[in-house]
Amino acid sequence: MIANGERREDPKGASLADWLSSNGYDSKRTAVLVNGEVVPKRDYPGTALRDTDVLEIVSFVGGG
Amino acid sequence: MMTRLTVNGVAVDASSEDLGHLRDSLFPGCGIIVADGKEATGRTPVREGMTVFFSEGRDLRSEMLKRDDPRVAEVLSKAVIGIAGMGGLGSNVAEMLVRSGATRLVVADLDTVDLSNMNRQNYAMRDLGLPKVEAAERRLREISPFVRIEKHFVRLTPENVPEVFGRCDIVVEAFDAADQKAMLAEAVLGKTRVPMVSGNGMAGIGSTDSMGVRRVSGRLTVCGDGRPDGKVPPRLMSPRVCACAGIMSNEVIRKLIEGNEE
Repeated sequence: MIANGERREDPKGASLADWLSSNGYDSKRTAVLVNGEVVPKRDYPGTALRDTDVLEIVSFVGGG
Repeated sequence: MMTRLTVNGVAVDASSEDLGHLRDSLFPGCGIIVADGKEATGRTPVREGMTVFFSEGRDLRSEMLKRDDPRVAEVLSKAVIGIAGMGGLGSNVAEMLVRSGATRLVVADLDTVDLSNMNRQNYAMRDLGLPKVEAAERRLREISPFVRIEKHFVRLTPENVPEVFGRCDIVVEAFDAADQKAMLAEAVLGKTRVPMVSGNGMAGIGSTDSMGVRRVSGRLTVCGDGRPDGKVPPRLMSPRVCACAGIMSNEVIRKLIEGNEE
């Protein structure tokens, strides 16, 4: 699986919610695209990740 | 009868009744006339205390955009640009895009102008207490008479985002709160077909060489340094906020030109 351009371990069906949490992301402040499509937050727990998936995760920070 | 005016910066006692006659006597051949900050014509009557500016050039707008890359003037004259948040990022992005030639903005912010905004937001002391969308409209129309602003004095939610920004050619994400930024990205990408340029990370006084442009996807570009500040609320100052706003404005222009060339 690729996340933000880097090769990562096979997620073996882990949910996006769990993967984000284990990798230190605060899901209230992320926008995530899986294979080019944005995944809404309510679908994070129900989205199972595969080794072929390509993720882009944006972690938003305060300020603007 | 003599009338005291200022013409191209110089005090003049004029006997002309209208600006056309004044032009013919002082600046013959100058087809562009601005009086008291607004475009005027030869038939506009002269008034005591008026400030007048005569210029050569084909027309007001092309003279104002003379230094633009012509592709920029062209795309911005047609584009409808949404700006979510008219604080430090949004108010500065709005000015830069309007100066570059943007004429149609859809702006949303539920806030009013406050003293703590003055260190970075594009408002003046006389704007204090006004809704930001109102103050911005006044300021932007002082910069360009061609601009039309659709104002939304509301809190943006996933439900109203498609309605507010659905007709835009591009949306600028200029919120302050991280969770609101995430909400907008999901709503714009998930519920509309509109591309988005987001500002993410501009706090403090660290070197701006940490600021970058990340093309996350064909429809999402994120500008800034992506770094949280150590403090809550984050320390935000004009130089880095405007640096980020400048990067965002440039990316909006680049995206619109790219879309135009397809």
